[in-house]
Amino acid sequence: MALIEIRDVFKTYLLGSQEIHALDGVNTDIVAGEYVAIVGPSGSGKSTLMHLIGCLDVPTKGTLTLDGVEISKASNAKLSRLRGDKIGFVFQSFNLLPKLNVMENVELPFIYGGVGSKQRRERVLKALTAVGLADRSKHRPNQLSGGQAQRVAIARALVNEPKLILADEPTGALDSHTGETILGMFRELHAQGNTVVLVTHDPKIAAAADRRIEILDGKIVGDHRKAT
Amino acid sequence: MNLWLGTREGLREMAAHKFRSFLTMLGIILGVASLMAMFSLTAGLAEGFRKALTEWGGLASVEVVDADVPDSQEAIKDMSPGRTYKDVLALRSSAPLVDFVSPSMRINGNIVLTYKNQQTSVGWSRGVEQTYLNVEQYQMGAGRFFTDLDLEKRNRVVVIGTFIKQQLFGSGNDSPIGATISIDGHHFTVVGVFVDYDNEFKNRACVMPLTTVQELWHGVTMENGINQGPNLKLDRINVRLKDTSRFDESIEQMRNVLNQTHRGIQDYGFNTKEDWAESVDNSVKGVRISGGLIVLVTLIAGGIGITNIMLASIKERTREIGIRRAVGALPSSIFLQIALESVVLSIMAGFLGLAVGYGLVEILKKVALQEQAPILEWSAVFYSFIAAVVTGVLAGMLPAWKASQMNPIEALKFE
Repeated sequence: MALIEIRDVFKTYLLGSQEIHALDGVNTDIVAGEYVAIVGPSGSGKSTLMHLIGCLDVPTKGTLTLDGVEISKASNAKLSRLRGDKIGFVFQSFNLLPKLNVMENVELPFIYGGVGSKQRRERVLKALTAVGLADRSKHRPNQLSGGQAQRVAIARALVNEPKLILADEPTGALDSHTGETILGMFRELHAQGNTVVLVTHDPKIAAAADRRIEILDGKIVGDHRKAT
Repeated sequence: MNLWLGTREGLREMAAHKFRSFLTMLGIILGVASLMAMFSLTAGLAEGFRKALTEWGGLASVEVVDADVPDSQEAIKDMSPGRTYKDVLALRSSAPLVDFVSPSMRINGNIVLTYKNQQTSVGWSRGVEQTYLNVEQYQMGAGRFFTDLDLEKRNRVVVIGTFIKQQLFGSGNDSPIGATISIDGHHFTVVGVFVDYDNEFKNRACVMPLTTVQELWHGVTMENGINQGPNLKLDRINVRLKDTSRFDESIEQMRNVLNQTHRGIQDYGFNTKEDWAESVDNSVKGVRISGGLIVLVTLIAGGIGITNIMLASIKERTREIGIRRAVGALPSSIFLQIALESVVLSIMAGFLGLAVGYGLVEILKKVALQEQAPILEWSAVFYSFIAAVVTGVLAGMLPAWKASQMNPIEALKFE
């Protein structure tokens, strides 16, 4: 069974009396261990699709199953738990909390999950080591470079050992060199067996993934796999 | 969500905006401080009254007074002999719930006391029996009180208070005990002096044996130029009850006895300190309620202050809330976190308020009348603190609810 199963998914917004189909009948599967890029111009519906995959929202019509859990009918609280347990988010603007130091930022998902403090420290340290920032654990986000901040965000996404790492334009706020480092890190995470879904408008970045889902006007218009 | 981590976040949030947090807390701080001051002031007031009450014999002290007869007895009211020594004897023998009965007879008019060339006048002087000491709570400072023999022989002996002693004997070397003074032209021997009281009124005492006073000042009653014989009425009968917990029963017992001696005419009543104590209690309660209402308004204003600032604060932290939601925070976790912040804030404000309130009480102690100095009770501290916490909890509800209902997608887009 696929990790994510998307069946006839519609997402419709009402703009005044006019219906806007942000997603217009989307069907696809993402299997555990895949490295997928969802690519499309702005307004194509890729962000909406990402919100659904990330359990931040539910479809208007159709079914979306994440790791065997059907989310279309899940409650607000259930969606929150799914996010905490199964998904690690990486955002374009890092989204670290400025008042917390690196360690506490990475620890954040644990505040909402019942993990003992000793185990918590261990796993935070492990995640920070994985992104090569264990020596910066007491720094504040504003004392870090953009690349470092994004690595901290990746550590935070990893710390809960999620089923899926969901990255929304992760290199958008970085210079191209640093961006490549970050992409290298995703490649490495994929190599370790993680499922990575990368959302971007930039075909060059999308090219880094093994599979490219192209989306336009709320429909999937292309699904390419790299020859292995 | 983890309570300790939530509390830590609350403290951190406060530390990040120290001045703003202080201003936010100010309403609660002032509310708690004034609540504490109000409680202490009224406690001091009540205590002052209670002390005065005890000095006058406390609840156990009851006076038999004249009362208007009911309309149905108007025509036959002269059948009653009035308040006489018979009442005293009857109460002593037939009212076991009464411990002491003190009859007394005052000398009318301003009485002049003379010793050598010193002279003073007293507003009140009375003839009494030994039970006067028990009922009016006097103690001997020097010399002795009257004896049965003094009463039987109508001896001309007198016991005075320290004020009179000071007036007549001054700071001279003459000992008042054994000295002969003139009272309204009659020679009396001073046999005792009461101890010195804070109560100036008590120090003006000048008491003689009841029988002596009756003979010298009430031996003859003139009415329309005709001698009506000696006036045997007593102008006061004061009693001391054995057990104040059986107060109503004691009064009922006295009523039964007096009904006999007054031939069923209800021309007597009871002046109890209970009425006084009750009115003191009532006024303290009244002050507390009105003071409490004023403080309540202060606390509500303080609470609205907290709500207001927290609403601004969650708006400012919309993105933070979005991030927390993205990493798995439940709506209820967000609610709890914001509510905890408000609780942390108000607990802090509570402690500061207690400190300010303590200072306020100390200042009031210096300003207030000595006998009504504010008293800081633990219950006041406790209630004031609870008031702060409750205010904080309530104030945090609306912001916490709003924060918990934010849409995570919108919150993450917030700039």
